[in-house]
Amino acid sequence: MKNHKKRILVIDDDADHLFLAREFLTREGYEVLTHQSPFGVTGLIQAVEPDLVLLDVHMPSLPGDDLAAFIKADERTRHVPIVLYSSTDEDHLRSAVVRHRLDGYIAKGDTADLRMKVGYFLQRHVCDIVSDRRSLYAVE
Amino acid sequence: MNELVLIVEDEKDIAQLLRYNLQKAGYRTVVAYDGDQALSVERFGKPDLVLLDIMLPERDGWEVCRRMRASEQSQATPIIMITALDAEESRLRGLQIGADDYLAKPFSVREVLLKVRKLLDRSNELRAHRVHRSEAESQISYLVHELKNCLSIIGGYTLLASERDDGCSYLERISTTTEYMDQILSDASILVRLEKGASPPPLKQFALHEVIEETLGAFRLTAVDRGVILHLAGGTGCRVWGEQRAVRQIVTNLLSNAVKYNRTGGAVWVRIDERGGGIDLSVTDEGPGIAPDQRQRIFEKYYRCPGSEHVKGSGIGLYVVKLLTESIGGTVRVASDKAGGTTFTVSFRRADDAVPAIRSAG
Repeated sequence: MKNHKKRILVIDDDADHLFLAREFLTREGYEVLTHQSPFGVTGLIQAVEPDLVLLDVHMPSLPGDDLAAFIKADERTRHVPIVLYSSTDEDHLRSAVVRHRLDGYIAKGDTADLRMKVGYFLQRHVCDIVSDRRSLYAVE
Repeated sequence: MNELVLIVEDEKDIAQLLRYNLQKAGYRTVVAYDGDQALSVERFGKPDLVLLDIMLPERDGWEVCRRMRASEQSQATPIIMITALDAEESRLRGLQIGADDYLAKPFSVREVLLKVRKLLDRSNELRAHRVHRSEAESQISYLVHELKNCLSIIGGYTLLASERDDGCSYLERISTTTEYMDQILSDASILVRLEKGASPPPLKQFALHEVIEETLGAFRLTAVDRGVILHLAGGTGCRVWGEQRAVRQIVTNLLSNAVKYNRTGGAVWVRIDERGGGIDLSVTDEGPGIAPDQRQRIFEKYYRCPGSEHVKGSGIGLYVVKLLTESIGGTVRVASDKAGGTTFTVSFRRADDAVPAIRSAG
């Protein structure tokens, strides 16, 4: 088991949101990287290997749910858990999560919720990997 | 394209009669001779209306009607049931499971055509209404989203500020964000008011210069923050026809853009000029300028210039400027230089002229 700080990559077109996400998540003991554009994300994910990506949905040049689809379609990046992070209507977020088989969403605005859910998604991903391996071994 | 009527009738002569007369009346037609055919034609042909006989081989008319009403695609498609004469029971049952009207055999051709036309008109009207409503809803939800975004920033900085003793710079950002929210809200409420066709404000005569100076004063801090200098020239003593609140909002929106899209250390020039029959108010920035094809679209609702994504904006500011200017009988235009700099000019009627005619906002 790796023992480094969990690394979170936050993608948003709004500098204020990035600043706040960095502020709050750094306090939780995570290493936070931010990126203020939807472009170059698949390359960035390969370069920094984050444990979790928080992705804004409402970016004008490339909507986050389309970007999520790209990330999930690329086999070099599809293993990284993607969580939508947006003030968009929650119904929309839920359906985007299902449609692109993402890991979940967090509604912007509630800092306590952000902290709690980021912890949850990181934890869950570890569990998923373990259970995936188990089922693999069982088949073998 | 002409409307498509699906005729579901197993008696070939009746089907032919209906088909001939409907085609003569200008409709496109397709005929199905049993219930299964009817459902598959219905599904792929998307008819605008269905004439549906009850007694059919395979699935009967009841079943077809029930299935159509259960599917999302055809739940609103008008259905006219064809029943035997005096079969009140059948008619009631048909209306109960979702048919819109019925025809009793034997029917006259005129009756068929009248009922078809009436139902199609009503269904078109309903569809137009639905489209209109869903557009309105998506626009509202867009604005709501924008506001929620702001609120979450306010919440975040407020939290940070309250945890620190030297929270001053955070508190400043809170107030900037609040101001922006305030502007969106004013724009949105003006937009709703003017688009709903509310009567324009009564026009008054006032000194344009005074209103401009007042608005500039409110902007000075924001401008200083961004290193932009505001200049006002000319026009002392110019009186115009208008309404102060509307003019204040027009100037606010133009100044807000001129500051936002300016270069750092740039200037904003506000000028009042007497020109021909009227008085021009112009706001010029030293930003990158606007390309000709974008200039034509810049007053459209929700239009934002490509490349301006990094600047916060709701896309309704200039649209509101246009609506407001027209509501007080003025005109607004934009000019831009290739070398950079954009000038918005609002033309007012001079106060000593007759009251200007108001163009409708719609």
